[in-house]
Amino acid sequence: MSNISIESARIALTPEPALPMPLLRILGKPAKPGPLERLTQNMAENAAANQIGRAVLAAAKASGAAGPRTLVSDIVADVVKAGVAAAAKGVSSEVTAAAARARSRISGAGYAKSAARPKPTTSRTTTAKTTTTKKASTTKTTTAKATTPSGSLAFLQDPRISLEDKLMLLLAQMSSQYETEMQQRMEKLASGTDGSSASSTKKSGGFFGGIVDAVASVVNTAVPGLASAIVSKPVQELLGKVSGPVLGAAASALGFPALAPALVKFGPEIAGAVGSVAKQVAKAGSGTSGTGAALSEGDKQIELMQLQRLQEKQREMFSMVSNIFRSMHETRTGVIGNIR
Amino acid sequence: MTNTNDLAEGLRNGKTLAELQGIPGEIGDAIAALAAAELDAGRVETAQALLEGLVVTNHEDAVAWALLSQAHRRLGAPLAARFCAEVAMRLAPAEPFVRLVLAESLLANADTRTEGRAALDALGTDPEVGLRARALLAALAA
Repeated sequence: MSNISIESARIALTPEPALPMPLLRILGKPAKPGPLERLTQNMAENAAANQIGRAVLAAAKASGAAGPRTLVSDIVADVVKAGVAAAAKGVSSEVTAAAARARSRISGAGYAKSAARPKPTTSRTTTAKTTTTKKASTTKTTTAKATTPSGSLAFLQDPRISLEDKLMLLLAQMSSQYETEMQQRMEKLASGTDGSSASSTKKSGGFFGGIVDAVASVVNTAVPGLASAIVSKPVQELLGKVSGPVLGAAASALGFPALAPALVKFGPEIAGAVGSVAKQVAKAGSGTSGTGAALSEGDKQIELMQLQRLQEKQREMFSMVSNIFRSMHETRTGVIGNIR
Repeated sequence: MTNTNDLAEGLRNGKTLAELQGIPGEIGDAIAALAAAELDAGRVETAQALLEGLVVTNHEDAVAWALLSQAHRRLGAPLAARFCAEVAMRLAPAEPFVRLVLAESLLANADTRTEGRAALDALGTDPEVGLRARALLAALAA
């Protein structure tokens, strides 16, 4: 890997116990650009780079350019960097090739079928499983589409109602849904702010307790034992590094698809929420109940975000319906105009 | 165009976003190759962004998880790297590249370094990743 670039050099090394320098280089751990001593040490460690370095020094001497020491060392540094990078690249390109080969064997799983794509010959069993279930679920979806919508959306199939009326009814229906949801959210926010509903205080940490449990189960499945320290700093760092959608994808991959939506939605807030929930749980455990149900700052922010999201959805829906009406009107006006 | 209800239903049925959106494996291959090139070029943040998108689009793509693990490791997040490598391992336990990436992520932590070394030992004779495994072992011994 070309890990000696200036850009990668800026990245800090992990604060782990010292790994041998060659290992750091092979692993792609960025090494900080050091002075000449560091570079000469690199030269000594890497035979290829050493050779190049000597060659450049000889060339510099031969051409009489052995002037200022710094100039020579700069030349050596640059060439040594290139030499080390080239040497590392030999190992690295092997890995990239291995990744490509690995993809050619297993990349079919989870992707849509391509007409031109040849079927992998050495695919693992889940690939076959996925493709078969895909067919089944596709037929299921299409049959579900063909059925008439039941309940409150039955008017969509009513032939006596015009398209405009259907649109208006749909708009009213969805608007009502959004309003109900917004009302619920506002009530939750209000009760959380004044802390009146003390009965909702639970040892599990409420809703975010559930999210924390979800995170714990996903993390624990991936790395057993790690989730027991869910409130520990490293795990919180992990949650901070792994974004919500990635955590959601991991949940799906590890067999917890039901948890994925919650993790995707609240992923970015989880790291902060984990800490606050852990504190709340600890408080409840120690018997100091306090005011109880007051929402934490993170929870309030989430509730407000949800409210905002609902408002935006409502606005989008209004604008969509309005656009449809306008376009229909314009079409008709155009047709009438053409007739005239 | 996929509507939201179909998407939600599809996801509930265990499908991936890639399947629901009709993204074929070739696109996944191309994105992964691009990300690997970015990793090689030292633009790790770009690679990370690409790979995060890829694993969200298809959470069953073990190689994408493994490459994301490499990106996290190079960004100095060993725990995130281990997490991604473990997910990859769950998806493709027999894949040498995935095993190598997990072994590398294990090396980052002093507690798991022995385990990582053992995993590298096991990969030493592999025709695909054996060279790198042996190089790492040699470097560890140095």
